[in-house]
Amino acid sequence: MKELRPNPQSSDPAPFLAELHRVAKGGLLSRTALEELAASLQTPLADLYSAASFYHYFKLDGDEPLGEGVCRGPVCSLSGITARAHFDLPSISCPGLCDQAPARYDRGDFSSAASSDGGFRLPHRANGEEALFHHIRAPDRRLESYRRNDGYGMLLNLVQNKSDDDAFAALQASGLSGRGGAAFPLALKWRAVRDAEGSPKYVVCNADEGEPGTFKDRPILHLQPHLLLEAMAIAGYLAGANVGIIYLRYEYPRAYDVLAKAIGEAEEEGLLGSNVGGSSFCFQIHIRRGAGSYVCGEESALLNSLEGRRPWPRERPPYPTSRGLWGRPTVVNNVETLCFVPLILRHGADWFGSLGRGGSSGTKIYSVSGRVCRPGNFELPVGISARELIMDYAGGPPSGRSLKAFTLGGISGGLLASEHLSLSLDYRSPAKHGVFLGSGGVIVLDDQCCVVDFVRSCVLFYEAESCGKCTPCRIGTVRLRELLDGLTGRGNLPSGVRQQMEKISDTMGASSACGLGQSVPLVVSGMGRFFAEELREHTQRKCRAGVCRF
Amino acid sequence: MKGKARIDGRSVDCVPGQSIVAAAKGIGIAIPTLCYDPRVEPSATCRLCLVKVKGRRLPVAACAHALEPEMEVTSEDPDLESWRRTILALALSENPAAECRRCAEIGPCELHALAKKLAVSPVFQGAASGRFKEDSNPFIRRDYEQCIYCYRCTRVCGELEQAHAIAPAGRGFKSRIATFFDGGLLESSCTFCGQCVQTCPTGALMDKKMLGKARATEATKVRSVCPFCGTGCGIELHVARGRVIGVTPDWNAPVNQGSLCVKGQFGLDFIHSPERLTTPLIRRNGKLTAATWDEAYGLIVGKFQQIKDESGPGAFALWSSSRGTSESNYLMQKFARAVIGTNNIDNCART
Ligand SMILES: Cc1cc2nc3c(=O)[nH]c(=O)nc-3n(C[C@H](O)[C@H](O)[C@H](O)COP(=O)(O)O)c2cc1C
Ligand code: SF4
Repeated sequence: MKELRPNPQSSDPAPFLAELHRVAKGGLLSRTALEELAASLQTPLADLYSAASFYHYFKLDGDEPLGEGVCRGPVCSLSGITARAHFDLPSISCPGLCDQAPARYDRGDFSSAASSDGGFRLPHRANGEEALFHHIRAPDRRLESYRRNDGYGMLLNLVQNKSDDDAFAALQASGLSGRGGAAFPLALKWRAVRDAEGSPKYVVCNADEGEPGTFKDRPILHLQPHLLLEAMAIAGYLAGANVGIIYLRYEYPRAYDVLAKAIGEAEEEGLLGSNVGGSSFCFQIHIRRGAGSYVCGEESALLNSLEGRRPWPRERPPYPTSRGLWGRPTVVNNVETLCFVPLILRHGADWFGSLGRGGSSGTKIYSVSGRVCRPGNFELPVGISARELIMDYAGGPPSGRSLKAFTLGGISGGLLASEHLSLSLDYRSPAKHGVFLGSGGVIVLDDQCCVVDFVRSCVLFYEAESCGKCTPCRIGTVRLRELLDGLTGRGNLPSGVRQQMEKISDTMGASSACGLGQSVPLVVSGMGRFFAEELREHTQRKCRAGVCRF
Repeated sequence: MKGKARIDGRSVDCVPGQSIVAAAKGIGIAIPTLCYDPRVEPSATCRLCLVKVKGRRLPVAACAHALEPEMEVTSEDPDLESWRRTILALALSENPAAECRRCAEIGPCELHALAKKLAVSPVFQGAASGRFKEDSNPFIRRDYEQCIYCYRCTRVCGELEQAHAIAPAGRGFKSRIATFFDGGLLESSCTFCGQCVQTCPTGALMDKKMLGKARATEATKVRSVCPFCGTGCGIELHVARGRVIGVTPDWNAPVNQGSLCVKGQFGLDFIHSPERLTTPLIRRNGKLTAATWDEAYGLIVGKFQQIKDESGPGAFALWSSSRGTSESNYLMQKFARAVIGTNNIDNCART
């Protein structure tokens, strides 16, 4: 890829998204606005149009404006949850209110018909020790309450005592790995950026959280922003970066206000900005709002999005650690991953290790949604069993119903059946069933739900979110969905439907460029392996749950 | 980064930055591709060039990865073949061979030639994504029903031509190739170099002037040089029934390596124009009338002599054309200096 630089006339490391949001009137981008922007960003008109037309929530002059919408995603369309009204409204992509489903969109804001908490809903309390959520339950979000809990203490300690080596040693010993999905060790990543050639270096926080059934970063972003800000500054100090960018998903508009206010507070107290804690270390944090796109959570697509390119994923290697934002070494980490850092530095790697179970370290935020009595977020040990999480903490399916299936990693970690409830939710065990813990989202289906119909809604989500770069993913998602349309009574049913699905998903898994296309086969093959009988019935136009109408 | 790697068991010298596709080609291994155009950055979108690299969990796109020392690459095995066939079948589900006008009228398109070579048939059925785009420009037909979204045209337009007229717009299956706000090419920064047409591996982009002239099987290709300017780009004239029916660039010509501009690409229909002159014309009593070459030269010699006698050789200035060959340009200056006796001679290629 060609070397690109940020506009040298601008001090803004990533002006593109901010500028588009600035000129979009009610989400609508006019021709004149884009022409002016192209001139000021020194971008060819067609390229700017190319990038802007990618996102759900930028509408271009001539498009149908999006005023209202409802989510018909994998969780919101489960039986018993489906919005009964609003059949006439357009669909929106999962906005991360799965625990308060069904979700709605109304002119820039997202809400739920089931609750008024939205992003500010407090997580459920677990029995064991909470690490992250301990900082969320304080009655206020203000800086003082965070500092009362020794907040920013680790950052100040670092910049004043320059104890980099100790910090790296603790992070490495903790075994902290990425919570965004790929579980890459954090210390390795930061070291790679620190040692990489090239400057300036960047820290990017991935707060795009677009995975259906995953809303774990949401409470941190809404309820305790300072934990994240401190973590990003520590990342900057250790990796050698002076600029941090939070890539916040469009669907969390309130979190933008919370974060912006918190950055202001921290700068005022000298905890961010120039000369952090009186030292020579400077660290500036910018927030960039996405504009509606799941694939922008994929780290290299995210970087392209920040650069104002068409946000499709890059070929790797090179990885962002060597060639990230503007081709410079860049740390990209998930919100949850980052937030563990100050806590590990404060309490030590051993403490972190002791939070886990069965040889795993740490806690994890699990988002449980779908057909359970207590949907929501739980901070629990890595290594807890699926049964404990779903049946005990989340209360299991409503009374009289039985558990049929559950997913891991939102929808991208795979699909399992009730016989897998004893599975330990950690970063190794799920692989024996060909599935992954991923983001920690768990969607539960009971016996009133149809597995085939659910898999169709997952594939429909992927179809809507595929960036269109890879032929197998761009066409494969559509062909799979069409076959599933046939199986669920929405279209005609060709013979050999199961073999066709297998061929397509096998090819997508091996040949797609990013995790989106690579993950699609997991739900499809889970259906084939663990629900073979139910699938076979559908080829004969029978749905045992009575969901599909033939 | 010098060293050796292996492709299908054969040892290859690594050239820094050289892609696996290019390195394989160098030793006679043709890895199938559709989105690959070596002149621009790889997009790795068609995923056909997937190869296995020892030690990597997933196959890699050979167009977008450099061959590195110690790499062990497998370019063909049953897995790769199965994936490639499925990908091609998916592409065919949008763009079946039976509907391809490029294959029928111009010559086999890359997509259908490859599908034929690998004996892949369209086993999947379903909706197609693209639509025919009405575009009133005189040169380029834009039928995106045939598009497979390899993004060669947009990369060539942006990177190679720096025209930035077209780019991918929208997302996923609803992606489209668009100018700013989906206007026609005439309202865009398009220079009508035709390079998008030439790199297109399907019938999505075609030369409007070539359509409806002949069946592909009737035409032969003749190597030639573009007559328009001194650059001398290599072209191939498509000739059917004694008439030139179109032009494609000569990909092996050292001067242009496949590039052309609007004149060479779309301007050669003057060859059979009924408005072309067929005899010299002499203006008699204010009207141009047909004459013989003897009459015409007689007139020129007489007038030149008269001017030279009356006003001297300095009254002449000669200007020769870069459309002429080097030899005729040499003769022109010889004529100026030796026959007329002036140094007032110049050539349009000098500016
Ligand atoms: C399609 C797709 C979507 C993703 N979405 C997110 C996301 O919303 N948030 C996130 O942190 N990681 C997401 N990831 C993972 C990122 O690519 C990357 O691995 C992660 O941000 C790295 O941070 P971590 O190491 O802290 O997990 C996504 C990956 C893919 C393939
Ligand atoms: S796998 Fe799908 S989403 Fe990922 S790069 Fe390819 S087309 Fe885009």
